[in-house]
This record gives sequence, structure tokens and C-alpha cells, in this order.
Amino acid sequence: MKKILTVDDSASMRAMVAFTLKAQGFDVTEAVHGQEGLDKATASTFDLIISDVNMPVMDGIEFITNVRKLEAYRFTPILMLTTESGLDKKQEGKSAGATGWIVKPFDPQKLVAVVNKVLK
Amino acid sequence: MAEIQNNPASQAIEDIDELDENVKSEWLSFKLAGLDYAVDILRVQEIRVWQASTRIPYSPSYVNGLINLRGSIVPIVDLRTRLGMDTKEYDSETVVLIMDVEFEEGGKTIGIIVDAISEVVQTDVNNSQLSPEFDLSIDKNFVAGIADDGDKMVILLKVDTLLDLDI
Amino acid sequence: MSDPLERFKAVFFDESAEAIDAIERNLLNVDDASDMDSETINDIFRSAHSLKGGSATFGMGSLTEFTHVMETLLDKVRANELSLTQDILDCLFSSLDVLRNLVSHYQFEDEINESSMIEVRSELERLLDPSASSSAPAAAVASAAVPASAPAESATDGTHWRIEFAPDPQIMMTGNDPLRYIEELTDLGEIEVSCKTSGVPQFGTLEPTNIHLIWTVEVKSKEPIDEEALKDVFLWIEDEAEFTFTNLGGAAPAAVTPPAPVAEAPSGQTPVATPEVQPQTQATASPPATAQPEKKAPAQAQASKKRASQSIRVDLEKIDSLINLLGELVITQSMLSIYGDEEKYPQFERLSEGLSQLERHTRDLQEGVMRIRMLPIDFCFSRFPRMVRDLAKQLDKSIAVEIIGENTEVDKTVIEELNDPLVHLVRNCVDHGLETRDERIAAGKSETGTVTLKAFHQVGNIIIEISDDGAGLNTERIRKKAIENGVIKANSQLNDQSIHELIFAPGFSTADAVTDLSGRGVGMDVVKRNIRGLGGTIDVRSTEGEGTVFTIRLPLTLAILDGQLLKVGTETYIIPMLSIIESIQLKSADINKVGRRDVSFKWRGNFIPILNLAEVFDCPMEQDQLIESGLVVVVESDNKHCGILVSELTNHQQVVVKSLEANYDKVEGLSGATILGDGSVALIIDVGALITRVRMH
Repeated sequence: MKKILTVDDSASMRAMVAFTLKAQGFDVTEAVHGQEGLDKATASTFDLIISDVNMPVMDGIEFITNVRKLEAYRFTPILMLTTESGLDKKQEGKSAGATGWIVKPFDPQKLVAVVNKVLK
Repeated sequence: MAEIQNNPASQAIEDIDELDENVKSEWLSFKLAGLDYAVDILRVQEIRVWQASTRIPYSPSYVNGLINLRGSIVPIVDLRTRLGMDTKEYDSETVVLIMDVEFEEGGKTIGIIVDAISEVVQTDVNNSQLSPEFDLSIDKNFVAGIADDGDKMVILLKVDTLLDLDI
Repeated sequence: MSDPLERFKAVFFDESAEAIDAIERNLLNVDDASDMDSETINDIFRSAHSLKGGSATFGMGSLTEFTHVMETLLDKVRANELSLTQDILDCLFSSLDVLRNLVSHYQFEDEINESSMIEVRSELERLLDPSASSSAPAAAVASAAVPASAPAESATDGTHWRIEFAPDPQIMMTGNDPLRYIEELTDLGEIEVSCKTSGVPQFGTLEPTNIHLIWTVEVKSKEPIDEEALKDVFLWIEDEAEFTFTNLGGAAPAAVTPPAPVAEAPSGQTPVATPEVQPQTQATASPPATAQPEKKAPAQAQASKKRASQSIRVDLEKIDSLINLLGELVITQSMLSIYGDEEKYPQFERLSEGLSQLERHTRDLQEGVMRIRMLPIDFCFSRFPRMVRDLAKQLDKSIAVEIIGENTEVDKTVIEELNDPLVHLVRNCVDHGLETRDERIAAGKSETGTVTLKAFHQVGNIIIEISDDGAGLNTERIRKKAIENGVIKANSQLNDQSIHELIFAPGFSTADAVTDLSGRGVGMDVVKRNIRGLGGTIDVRSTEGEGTVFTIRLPLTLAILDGQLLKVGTETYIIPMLSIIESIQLKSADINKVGRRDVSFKWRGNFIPILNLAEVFDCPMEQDQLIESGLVVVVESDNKHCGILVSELTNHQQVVVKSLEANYDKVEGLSGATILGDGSVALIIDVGALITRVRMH
């Protein structure tokens, strides 16, 4: 079973991502901000990380930069959840090492399609 | 009654019923005005972020409006209003649970608006209890039971009754 | 289910239904038993014969046995060994019911009606003459030949692209695997990949996590691929790789194209090779799906000559999913049309040209696809000759049925919904409209009365007329009854036409007026309600002594509607274009008020009621605002007019009608909902209901 880490400070967004992906048979772990995400990523190994950008404690850009530095995550796909208005965040995230992005708000089906593509 | 129980076939059926009740079921819990409620997770089609809906003329106050769910027209219900609570502005935590509802005349898809999603609660329906001394301040017909989730109480809702809209 | 025989069985069931209908049609054409032409009797014989052959092939014993007796009898009639009597004719009619029952027994495992089967069979045998010797040869078994193999794949090259893809050496560092993107291209078409390794450094200096490969991917598809779609695949890494996209063209789609021309890529920068090839034919696809077991019987040649057009059986679900998809296309198209605004985006002149082309093609495509759902109204009409014949016999009247325009096409759903109202109307003609033989002769008419069913198209509508040449509506009797039942007041002054229309009034039909024929307690008000439910209208014209005509007007399809978008405050509603007569700007002085309420205004010389939508739908806005705007849409339904006050008229577009009842419920004054270009839901106004409502107040 593929393992996915979802990092988001919004419980609802996290729940939506987790609910949707669990229904597809993925093992989903949740983290509420970048720091917790980094801790969980270190403690275990994930096949895919999905992270929000704006978060307290440690934001998404810093989180992605840090995760990429970890040996185990050099080639792991990391997707950002961005809002339409955060276009420059996409660039920033890409520079930090993100694989790609999903624009919020998104349809649960779209999420599944993207995740399946990346994990194929 | 005694006669029926002597019948081995109906005995077997009863056994199956009991077995069923002992199986743990999963409930998706959410917040509503500070309290925890939950719905049967098997009835949840998907969870969506709240989006503006189209008002329906003559609808009851708890019907927020219609949304487009991938080409289907789906009504969404404000659960606070439905349960007689004060309303609250929708925010980034507000979530719509798209539910499968079963009516006598067939199945429908209806969304419910809740304050925020909490978690998945495992409960044993036998363990959930509904004693009259609980003052839930909501219509008891909507309540399937109460589950004890560690330190807090979760009110399990009957989706079909809850969403049997009085239109 | 893997049994190939099962597939053919399904075809056989369809055929047998056709064969039985054909026998019935032929029997109905016989006015006089003694005067049946040999062609007709041959036709009937052949239909029975092929039923026998088919049923023998599939081991449907009872059906074979029964058709054998029928065939033997018909054979004798054909050979002039027996003369055709009214008895034989009646018995053949009864045989039809047995045949239908037997077919549905094998098809749906319905119970066989043994007693009626035995009864009819022995009647057939009795008619055959005392000791009927079965002279018929062993059933000429139809060989269920394997259909010719599917036609060779039509060699139609779609568009063909070459993509050079040179990722940055560091691309893996962002979790991106170039192969993933190449693989994703397979969603768009078949791919062929080659890889240049010349950029790979000497082994000694090779950094294993860096990529030095350059891929060339050729994508081929039957559908034209948009360059944007290709670029979308690489969206995440557009800054992390070098790309060139080369359009290698590809042959234009050959003969086998959908009925409507493929929408051309609107943008000039993508030279997708899709010349506007108008398909020469109406795409009469040869039907591999309906491959019929080959039959040598002469029946086939004859029958196929009669069948005007070839057909293919398609699962309704497939069509509906196509229609849904098309609905999405219509939505996308209208979404894009927002950008076609030349004033706002002057530099996009070519884009707007393309957009209008897209709109045209979408519309054509839509019409083409909707036509797939259309069936000739004959599906509905064809049952009436038999029904009228039975009823006439019961009532001892002499009645002919005339059918005109049975090939007029209409949406399948409309046909299904139309059945009950039509049955009711025809029963009414037979029961109440037409006189007995004696009465007709006394009135100087021919002994035989006629019920006519007529269908034709008229600007986006289908018109169905059910008429009789009977006595006509009895104005005085209707008037009396309406007064008795409290539908009108005793002193009401009404002209004849208004009185005739009272038959549609709720409460007019009462139990004692309902004979067992027109019966089942359904009144004309229900017929009217059903027709209105389909978005249609019905009216009646009658001349005493000459007859009655009911005219039904229906939209051709229920799925798509030409709509005018309008705003009431911030809310968007849709009015069907068909109901709109015009929109006008009123001054508030033009509006008549009673108290504070606006009630009517003068339009084309008459006062018509005015309706404030903000008030009707209780919209969250100041109701006076609407009056100040003074913008009124004049609408019509059932020849009644009304002005609707709105804040603003916006687009006019085709909308896909969705039901409110699927997940919610009926809403008064609304007929459905639709999804707009921006993805939001808008409600569709039921003009008929609004007018009725304003007239009641």
C-alpha cells in the first residue's frame, strides 16, 4: 500500500484529502504544519507528500525545502496545494523542490487522478 | 413469539442479525456549534470545500441552495439550521459532506454543511446508547445513538431522517 | 452469457416483435375478408414462417408448434384451398396475442397463458378443416450464420505530432521522472519513443542522478490533438526542460465521421489538419451490431425493401452518456464565448472567429446527437388501429383509423410520456366523439366514422392532431355540466370556444361521465397536465355535427432548451425562448397599480397582467428596484400573455435541462435547472405555471 503524507493546517482540507485518498486504498498520514510534517517524514517513509503552502509554525515552502534535503526524499514526488491567486508561490515552490501543484479548490476526483498519475 | 423461536430457520436469521450488530461501524465525525456529531461513513460520497449555491425559491430555511456536482444538481442543507441552532458565517473550515440518502421513493444525493470535519470514529452500535435523560436539544428522531469516543461524546445522526426534507 | 447463441436470441426477439407487428398491420389493412389481395396474405404467411424458423433454431418449442399451425392455415389460404373468412381473420387477430405472450415467455420468462393458447390453436385447427394433415415441410431452419467479420479498421490517421523533450539534467531533484510524462502522453494517442544518448558524458564524469537524455516522442491519434493538450501534460516541468512541438499533420478523417463535422480547432496557431469535410452521406453505418442471422426465406428481401432506412441498435445508456458529454461541451462553449467579446479583447479577432465557428459546430453536433434519440412517432401511433378495432367491435360502431405523418420523429422520452394521453384522447373520440352507424346514417354521413392521428413538425415543435368526424362537442351539455359541477357560474357568459375548453378544467369530469371505455377515472384535466408536464400545450376545436380536433404541441426534446438568461437582483434565471414574445422598457407611469401593487399594463391594445419576479420568488432584493428598471419580458403560454419584470437581460444560449426532482423536489413556477458556463446552477422558469398563477390572483 502506497503511503501518502498530507500536510495542511486546515482540518477540513486535510480531512478531505485523507478521506478521498483512503477511499482509493492509500495509507494516509496527516500533519497540521510543516514542522510536524517534517517530523513525520523523518520518522517514516512516504511515497508521496501533499502540502499546503500557507501554514503556521513552518510554511509549505520551507517544509518542501527541508524535506528535499533528506536523503530518503531526494526523488520523492511532492505536490503543493495552491490557490489560484498564489501563482508566484508555484514558482517559489518549484524552486524549493516541489514536483508539481494542484490548484485549490479542486474536485476530489481531480485529486485522485493526479495522485494516481504521480504514483504510477 | 415462542413458536417462532423454535423454528430453526428464523433462529439462524436472528443470529445473523446479532452478529451484524456487533460489527464495528465507522462514522465520520464533525463539529457543529462546538459539539461533535457523526454520520455513517458509508453514506458519505465525498467531502467538498463549501462553495456558493443557488437559492431555491420557497425552500425551507435550512436548505441552503443547489450546487453543481459534476453535472448533477444537488441540494445542500445547512445542518445548523436543520437542527435548530444559530447560524454561523461560512469560512475556510466549512465543509460540505455529500451524502447518499435512501428514501422510499429511491436514493438521492444531498449535501450537508458542517462547521468542520473532525475524524473517523469507530463505534459499536450496541455500545451506543440513547437514554432519555440526555438533553440533546435536537430532535431525537434524528439521533441514531451516542458514541463514547475517549473523552468526548459523539452524537450519531440518522441521515435518512435528517435529510427527509419537508418541502 | 458467453454463449454466442444468446446474442442472436436477442436479435430474434426484436425480429419477432417486428414480425408480429407486421402481421397485425397487414390484418388491419384488410377491410373485407373476402377481398384480401394475395400480396398481403403472402406477407402474413412469410412473417409467420420466419417466426417458426427462428423459434425452431432457438429451441422455443411452444412458439414453433403454434406458428406451425398458423403457417399451415395461411398456406392453405395462400394456395386458395381455403377462402378467407371473417372467422379466420378474427382468429388470426387472437393469434397475435398468443404469439406476443409466447415471445415474452421466452424473452422474459413470463407465464404462458396455456388456456388461451390451446383455445386459439384448436380454433385454428378447426378452421383448417376436420383432419388437418400437416403438409408443411420440416421447419426450414434458419441458419444462424456468423456475421461477416467487422469491417477493416478504417485507416484514418488523425493528427500526428513530434515532440522533442530535453529535460534539465537536474529534473529528478524535484521528484519528477521524465518517463512519467512520456507515459502520460499515451492518454492522448499511440506513442513511439526514441532516445538520443549523445549527450551522456563519459562514464568517469557521469553523475548518476542527472539526466542527459533527449527523447523524441511521436504521438498519433485518430482524434486531432490540440497543442495545448500536449503542453498541459508537461505543465509542471515547463521550466525544467526544453520542448519543441512539431505538427506532422495527418490525413483528414475519411468517410466514417460523425454526422456533424468535427469542430475545427479555432486558433490559427495550431494548424490542425481538419479540412471541413462534409460527410456526403447521413452516415448510414452498416450495422455489425445487429448482424441478423442470415435467412434465405424470401421474406427478408421483401421486408428489407420496405424498411426505408437501415438502423443500428444502440444501448440507450451509451446515447445518454454521449448527450451528457455534449451538455458539458455546450457549457464549455458558452464559457469560452465570454472571451469572444471583441470590445474587451480586440486583439482576439481570430479567436472570436474560431469561437463562433465552435458555437456553430457545437450546435450541429448537438442536433446530430439529439437526433439519435429520436424515434418515429409510429412507435406510439401503431397501437391505435388495433385498439380502435377492438373498441369499435365492443361498441358496435364502424370506425376507420387514418394515420398521417407516422415517420415524424420525436424524442424517445416524449414518446413514452405521450402514450397515456393519446390513449385517452383516442378512446374519447371512439367513445364520445363518433356516433353509431344508425346515428351517422340519420345525419347523412357515411356509415363508417374516422379517427385521424396526424403528426408533423413545426419550428422546433412536434404537432399531433387527434381528430374525428363525429358529432362534435355538445356545447350546451358541457355548459350544463360545468355549472352542475361548479366549474363555472350559472350566469357566466362564455363563447362556444371557451365552453369547449372547459373540458380541460379540473373537476369537470365526474364519475358518472366516465364510461368504462374512456374510463379509469382519468379526466381531460389529467391529459392536459401530462402534456404540460412535457412542456407542451393542448387545445380543442370542435364544430357541431362535423367533428372534433385535439391539437397537441410539444417540444422535440426535453433535454436541451433555447434559453434567455436574465437577472433578478443578483440571481440568474432562465426563460425558454419559445415563450418569449418580446422585451420592452416601460415607464412606471405605464403600469397600472392597485394600491401599491403593480397589476397590469397596456400591451398591443390590451391590458395584460404584470408579474414581479422578485416578489414571486421572494428574491433577496428591494422589490421596488425592479419596478424602477421597468424592463419587462412579455411571455405567452396557452394564448395567454403576461409581462415579467426583471432587472437585466443577459445571454441567450442553449442550456441543458436538468431535473430538480432527481435530488430535490418539484418547485412551483420552475421547470428545472441548468449549469451555466461558470459552473453555477441557474433555475429555469415554467412560464405556463407563472401565467396560471398570476391569473388566479
